[in-house]
Amino acid sequence: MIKNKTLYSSIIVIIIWYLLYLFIDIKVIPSPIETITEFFELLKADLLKHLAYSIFRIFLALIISLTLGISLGIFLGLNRKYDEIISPIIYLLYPIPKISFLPVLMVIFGLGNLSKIILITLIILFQILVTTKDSIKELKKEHFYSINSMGANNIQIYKHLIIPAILPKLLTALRISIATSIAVLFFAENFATTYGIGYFIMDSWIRVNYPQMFSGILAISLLGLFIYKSIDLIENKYCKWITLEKNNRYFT
Amino acid sequence: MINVDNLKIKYNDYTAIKDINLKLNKNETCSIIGPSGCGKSTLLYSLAGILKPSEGTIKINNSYVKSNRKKTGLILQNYGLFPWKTVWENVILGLKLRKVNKKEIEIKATSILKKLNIIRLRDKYPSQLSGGQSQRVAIARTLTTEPDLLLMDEPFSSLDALTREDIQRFLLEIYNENNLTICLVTHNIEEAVFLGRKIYIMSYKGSIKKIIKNPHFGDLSLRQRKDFHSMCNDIRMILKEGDTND
Repeated sequence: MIKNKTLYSSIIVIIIWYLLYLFIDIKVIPSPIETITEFFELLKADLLKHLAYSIFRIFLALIISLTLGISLGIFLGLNRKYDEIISPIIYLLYPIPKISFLPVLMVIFGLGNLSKIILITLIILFQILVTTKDSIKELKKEHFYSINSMGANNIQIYKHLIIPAILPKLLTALRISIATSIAVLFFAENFATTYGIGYFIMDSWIRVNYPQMFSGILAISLLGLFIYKSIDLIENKYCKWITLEKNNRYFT
Repeated sequence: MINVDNLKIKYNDYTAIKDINLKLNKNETCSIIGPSGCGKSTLLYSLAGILKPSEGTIKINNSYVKSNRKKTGLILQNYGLFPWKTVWENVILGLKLRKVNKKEIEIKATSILKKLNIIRLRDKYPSQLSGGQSQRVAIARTLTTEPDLLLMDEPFSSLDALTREDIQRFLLEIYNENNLTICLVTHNIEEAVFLGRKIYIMSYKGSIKKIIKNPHFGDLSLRQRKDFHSMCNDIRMILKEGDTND
């Protein structure tokens, strides 16, 4: 068993990176050591500021989509009547690549932060909404009978039944949608902004500064890793039961 | 204690149960037995206040049942335990919902877990328990709220024969110690005879076909007696009668 999986995988990735650098002798792949040194140098300069802009956009989008997605998802999951009216529309819109609406969003909401945040919100929101709704529908009526027979009020039903039941799938949905939203943000930050990690990488590329470009890639990777690890942390703390159920499965 | 008068319950246009009259005195037990889909669980849920009568009335201790009653404990077929809570968290849930203070919860739950011999399971999750253990946890959760009426929906159906008999005996002990009134739904004839002082036999049309009084109730060694088996046979015959007549 590998104890520190992140450390292990980082070492493997750096080794592969180093081998690529050695054998593909072109400038577009700088050496890992040079990149990491450059990365820390740039942190002292303005890389942190670029990163902060991106984090701000992602987190704001996250908060908006979680609030809207969870509440609408629970509402539709519990009210079949409204679900029948609204869900077909959601399913029609769900597979459309939201990034294609970037030009429209930029015209309506301006070139600045707002259009970028709304774009990411759209991507995460649908995932959260659909997952929440589906996991509520999977709840067994026995669970409701059992908590009702104990005399729970509505708030208690949310606290002890609904929220814990949707949490594991919600975290999975977050993992998937955050990966997409970082990719989309990278793209969106190439328009009408001079701050953000996406801009930083493309700008370094245009100026043919590969070590700097790779520092940006490293930064965006670390951002993704940080968010993933945070989700893991929440899962380990609040969804221990899911890990135990996973241990019961055939393919472990 | 329980007084059901001309009860009828409909789901939209479908009549699940009708013409139900049921009387149960305090500290008495009854089993409700019938074929699958006869509405016996519906009857139990209506006693628990989860389903509302379409016609007729349900009274417990002379007051109408409108929603859940504090002193009624419900135990469900697959135990109704929450998979995201540990044994301990599941057992104290009823007390927590009633805003009992922490110290009291600790004392009550610990003593019940000890009594049911499951204190060593307190930090386990339901997925780590065997059927018999889960059943004990479900009983423990219900007992913490100190019910005077225990409603059970096929609580032992997924247990193996020996564990089932073990827990049935255990239930009788709890019944004797706590002055409980128990109403149990089952499709198992032997269970109905072992645990019911009164046995209500339902037809598949959702009404009560026959009520049998069980004079042997309460005898822990009942299973070894001839009377037990002849009574089981009688009930089997009554259940079968319905199939051919209707």
